[in-house]
Amino acid sequence: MSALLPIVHRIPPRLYRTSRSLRRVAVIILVVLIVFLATSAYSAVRLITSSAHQSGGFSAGLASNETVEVNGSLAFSNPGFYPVQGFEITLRVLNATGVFLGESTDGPIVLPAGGSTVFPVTFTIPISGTSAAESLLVSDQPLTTDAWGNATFAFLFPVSVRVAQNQSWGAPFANLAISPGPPTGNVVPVTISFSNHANFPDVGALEVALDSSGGLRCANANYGINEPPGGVYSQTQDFTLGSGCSIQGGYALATYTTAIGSFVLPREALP
Amino acid sequence: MSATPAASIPESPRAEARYNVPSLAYRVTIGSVRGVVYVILLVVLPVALLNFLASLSIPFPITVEAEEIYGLVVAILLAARYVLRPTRAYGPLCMAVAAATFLFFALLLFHSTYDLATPQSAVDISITFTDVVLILLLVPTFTFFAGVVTTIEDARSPGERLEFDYPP
Repeated sequence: MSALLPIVHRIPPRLYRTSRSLRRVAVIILVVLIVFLATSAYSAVRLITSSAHQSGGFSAGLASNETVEVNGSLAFSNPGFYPVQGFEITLRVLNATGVFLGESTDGPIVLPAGGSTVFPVTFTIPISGTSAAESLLVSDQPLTTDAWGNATFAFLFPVSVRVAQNQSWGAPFANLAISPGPPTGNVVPVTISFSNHANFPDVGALEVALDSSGGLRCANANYGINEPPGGVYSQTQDFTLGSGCSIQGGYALATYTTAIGSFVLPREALP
Repeated sequence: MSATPAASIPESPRAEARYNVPSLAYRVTIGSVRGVVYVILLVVLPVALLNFLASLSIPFPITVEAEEIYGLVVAILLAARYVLRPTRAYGPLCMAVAAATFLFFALLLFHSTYDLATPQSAVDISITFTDVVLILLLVPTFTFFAGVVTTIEDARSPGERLEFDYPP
């Protein structure tokens, strides 16, 4: 009897439809996520293999606010499907003994999907205020640079990259020596010597002041300098001391004046 | 394939005749085959991938043991769910699969910052996929509530869904 009954397709009951809808929503979310993860992985691989490259090189020089400024740019291309958002780079520099010298942040920028962009990098290291910072002017030294790059990839993946590197720093007035010769009356010949180990020239004037042990200014004079990177400077000049002023056990203080400003070098003890 | 109303939720003789419920033996056979496929998809392939990454010195936030336990539990539950689909155990089994998956994803959530520090390298990369796991948690959440609804439906109207799960 039942075999003779016509097959009637009726609408499923409400609970059945609810359960089926919930399962379908779950499957749709899962499929969309799988597609998203697959394309994200593909895009990440494309992004990594395209990698950053230097654009136009980096240049370093003294800046007006008593800093060394490093300027350059990095070119990035993003051949993937998703953008890189909020991309910023933070650089931190420590000297060989671990003393913090400076920190700088560049960005954030957006690296669009399927596009390319140039990321300008400007990094400044103070060279005044502390003995560690001032020593950068006269002492070659290894520096530790920590670079952090933070960005959000494909809208949902915060990514952080840290690169630690050791760099060698070449001082613009490396091995600075201020050597007074034997006095003749109140005239003292003073020899200034240094090497320019920086990759920028020393152009300007070096004002050298000779102070007594009590802090009294005995004499000062200017040395004209124009020393290219790698050059060695040595010049002797006579200083006329003030009457009754002795530089024995005193200090020599050199100030480098260039077109962009003045930089005080660490003071030198005199014999 | 023959109808086996005895293994199913009790229902009226008129309704039984219209369903195409596979026999228990058939469901056990197909369920076993499915179980093997689930084990390959949920245990063998992921473990092979984890071992491959480990061979490249790339650690993964989830251990091989956790992945094996999850994969085996869910494979068994999925196979059992197929076999017991015509019965009242289907809804609770859906909830169990969803709960196991939810727990696994929750475990992944607690380790959702992946720190890749390559040995002998000065480069350290970390990637956070918390948002993706949170969205992924919606999947077992929805399937869990689907199981709840099915359990309620089976309790209220036994056999009601068989007409639609096993259409003639």
